[in-house]
Amino acid sequence: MSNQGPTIRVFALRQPFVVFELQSWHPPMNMYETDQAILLVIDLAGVDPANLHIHVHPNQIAVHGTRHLTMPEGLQRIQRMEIGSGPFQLDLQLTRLIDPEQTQANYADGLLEIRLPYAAQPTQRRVVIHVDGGTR
Amino acid sequence: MNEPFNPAELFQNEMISVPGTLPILALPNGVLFPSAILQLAVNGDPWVRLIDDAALSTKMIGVFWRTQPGEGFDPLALASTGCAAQIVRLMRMPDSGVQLILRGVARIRIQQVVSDNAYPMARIAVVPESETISEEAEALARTARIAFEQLVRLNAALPDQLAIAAANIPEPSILADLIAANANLQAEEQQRVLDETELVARLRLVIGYLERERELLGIAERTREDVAKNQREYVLRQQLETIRRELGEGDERGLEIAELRERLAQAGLPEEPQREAEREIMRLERMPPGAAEYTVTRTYIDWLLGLPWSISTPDNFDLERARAVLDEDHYALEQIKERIVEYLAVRKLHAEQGNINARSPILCFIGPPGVGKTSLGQSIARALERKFVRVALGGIRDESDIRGFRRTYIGALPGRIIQGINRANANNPVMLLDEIDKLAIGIQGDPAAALLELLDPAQNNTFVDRYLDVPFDMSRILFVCTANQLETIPGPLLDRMELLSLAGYTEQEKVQIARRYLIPRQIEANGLAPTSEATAAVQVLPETDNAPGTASEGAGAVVAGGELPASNLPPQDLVRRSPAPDLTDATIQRLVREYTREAGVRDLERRIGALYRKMATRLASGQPLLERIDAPDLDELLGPPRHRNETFLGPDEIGVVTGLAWTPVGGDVLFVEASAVPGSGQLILTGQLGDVMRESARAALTYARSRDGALGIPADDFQKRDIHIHLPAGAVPKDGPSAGITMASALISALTGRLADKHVAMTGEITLRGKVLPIGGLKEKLLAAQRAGIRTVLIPRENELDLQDVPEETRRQLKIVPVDHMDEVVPLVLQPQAIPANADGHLLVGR
Repeated sequence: MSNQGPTIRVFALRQPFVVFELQSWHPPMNMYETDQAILLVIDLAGVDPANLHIHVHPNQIAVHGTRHLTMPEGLQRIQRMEIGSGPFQLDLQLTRLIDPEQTQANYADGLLEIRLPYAAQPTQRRVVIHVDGGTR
Repeated sequence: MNEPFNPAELFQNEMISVPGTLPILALPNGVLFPSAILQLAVNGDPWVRLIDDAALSTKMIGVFWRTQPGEGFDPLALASTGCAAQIVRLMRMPDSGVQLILRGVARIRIQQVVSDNAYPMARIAVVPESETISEEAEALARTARIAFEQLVRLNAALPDQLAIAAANIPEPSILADLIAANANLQAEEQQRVLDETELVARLRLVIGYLERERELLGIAERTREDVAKNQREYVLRQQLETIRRELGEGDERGLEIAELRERLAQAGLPEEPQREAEREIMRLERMPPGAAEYTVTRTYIDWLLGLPWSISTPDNFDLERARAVLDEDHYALEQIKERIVEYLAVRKLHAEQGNINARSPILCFIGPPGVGKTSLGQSIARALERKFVRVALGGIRDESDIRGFRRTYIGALPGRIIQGINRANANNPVMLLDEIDKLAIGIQGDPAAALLELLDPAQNNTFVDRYLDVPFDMSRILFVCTANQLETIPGPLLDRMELLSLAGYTEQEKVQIARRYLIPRQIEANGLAPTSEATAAVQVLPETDNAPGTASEGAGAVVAGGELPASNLPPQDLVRRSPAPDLTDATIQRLVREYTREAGVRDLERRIGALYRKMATRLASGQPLLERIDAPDLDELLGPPRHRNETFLGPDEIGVVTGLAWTPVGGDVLFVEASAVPGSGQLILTGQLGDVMRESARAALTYARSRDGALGIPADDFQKRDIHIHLPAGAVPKDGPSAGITMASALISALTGRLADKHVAMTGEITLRGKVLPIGGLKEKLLAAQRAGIRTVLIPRENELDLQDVPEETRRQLKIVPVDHMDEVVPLVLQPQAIPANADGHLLVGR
């Protein structure tokens, strides 16, 4: 096709419709309910745990941070780019009340695991959780 | 710390920043909005370089819609507002092109193009979004969201996820962009939304587009239904056709065409219409039966073939028979009957000499309503044994009413003339053009002009109706016109016609007409049995049992032989056979004199109808019928008389003189009133008098002044008095010189105080010297005088010759005095002695 000269071809502008994304990327995430707690496992490979911020509320949780991908030395051109980078944010409404004070977070092998134990007493407290572990 | 937190606030400081300089990508066919995802493929040198460089550095490019098509980069072709876009994904293709996914970040505007690169770069400025959201914007966003959800529901092309996507976007600015990107808008319209930086205005713009889309969708829906219906009809027709073929019924249209050809062969059309018809049948053959023009062409061919091109009725030239027919249908009208017989005689001679193309004269009957103009036309047709067609022209204001509409117009039809011929189904009918004086000139052309051609014997053999578009020979038609007055008939038309005037009937003629035509007709119309000598004497006794009081033996036998006892029969079965009572001559005379005042016999017929209706009511309710209706019975049956001659004329008065007038509805009697009141010698004229009549009044006054001595009027009287002449009825316009001697008599009566005899009527123009000049419409005026019970009529001597047109009876009943000069008039109408003026100075005297 290179003999056709410079072209810009737009794919599927409206098929099925123009998608709007409020963020440039979303980390994939699993969410479990156990007998004790809600368990979140978020794929955050390449994110420095120090850059992660977790805000917990009795029925809400927000995680935000930034993924910086360093480019290789002597880079000529990019053949493929699929890993999202830059800032991201997760907001979740929780179906059951949890106890923010008892929340634990752990980063291992590129996965962030957040444990949100169910609340014994309803509480209104909101805390910022520190992430344990997290060596890359 | 009790309030729920807003994640967006936390996120603020990590917003993606847009560099001040960006490579610029021109999108050929669309607009990128902030937050929108765009997937595209880029090939070729500058663009792949641009993407590569951007991916290696900031991963950010500027995307603008190129408003005009073209090659290469042209900053002028770019839309004013674009979007900074982040490269989210990138994949190189085997052909060295690049596929990428962009995500819009923010509205940007180019500030300066930097052109020293392989690809275009520009310094840009980010257009900031409104930081605060007003209540109005919130409300508009809600409206837009609801409208968009409706549109998504209605429009099958928009997936349902869109409604969910819209519901998940909390920010009004992004919502507006999402709607603009997805609501089927043109690129220009999307660009307008992108250009609009102010939030409220952007929302309004988007709502406007949504409403339009919703509207369009409704129209599209209706159109689709219509199309579906048409297609269904088409398919059904095709199936019908197939079924017919399967059944061996052949093709209906082929039969239709064959039938038309057959009719054409038999119609005997002249050459030109024949060609035209053949051509149209050929066109019809090639036309699909569903075509809108099919019916138009079919109707036209039907008209063409249906006309009596070669059908004519043979004329009956038996003059004696014709005379008998005319006498049978009409009483009196000697002149007219004679003229019709003459016409027949001429036709007969022409026919014997083989001269078919002899011109027919065009007769025009002029006269008041109800004198039988229309029925004379019918009689002519009957006498000649021709077909009769009546074409009513009253109130026609459009030329195409006469001549037809061109076939190109929807619903076009031939004009009334061709329609009449079609109705007659003969090319030589008697055509009665009724009320030719009531033609009106409208904005659509003058109908009289079309009649001119029709009535001109030199050119009406090629009369072309606009609808037919081929000439039809009108020269064999005998045209008869009717009119109430000459004045309103267009001059050129009048010139082509032979005028026959029907002035009206005398009392004796009316009695005869009533006896011969009106009474039998009304008896018939009211469901009564005809009177006869045999039945008239038998008394009807519906009350008595078993004795049906009918004269007819046969009818009685039927009742007796029936299964029901005769007494159980409803009375109307008996009475239906009873004859209607007769009217005596005295009754008819009284009807004519006291219950009607007209030139014709229309009102008379109505009165007779009223009488027989009363009889019918009696019969139907089982009351005994009168044996005959005598003159005194009228008071009971019809109420008191409407016109009593004595009351009509009233007692003699000073200053009131009876005059005679001509009107389009016959002659009439009118009174000229004059009054002399103290004043300064002015002449006052009232009663809607025309100029001629006013001048005539002045002449009358001057004559009176010049004769003051002889008439015994004090000379200075004219200076001391105002003279007022009035002609009732004041609302009806009057004109003409023929009331000259009447006005002169009235004012002499007023000035001298001599009583004027109301039973003396007069007509005549007056000169300053008092000479009496002739007038028109003498016959009508005399008939009116007779009707009104006038005893003496003064007429100008020069009109004496016209008296031979006046019926014998009228001449006998009236004392007709021809006069030359006003000096002869005064002693005939005014009583000799003067009555002195009363205290008021008024000379009008009662009893």
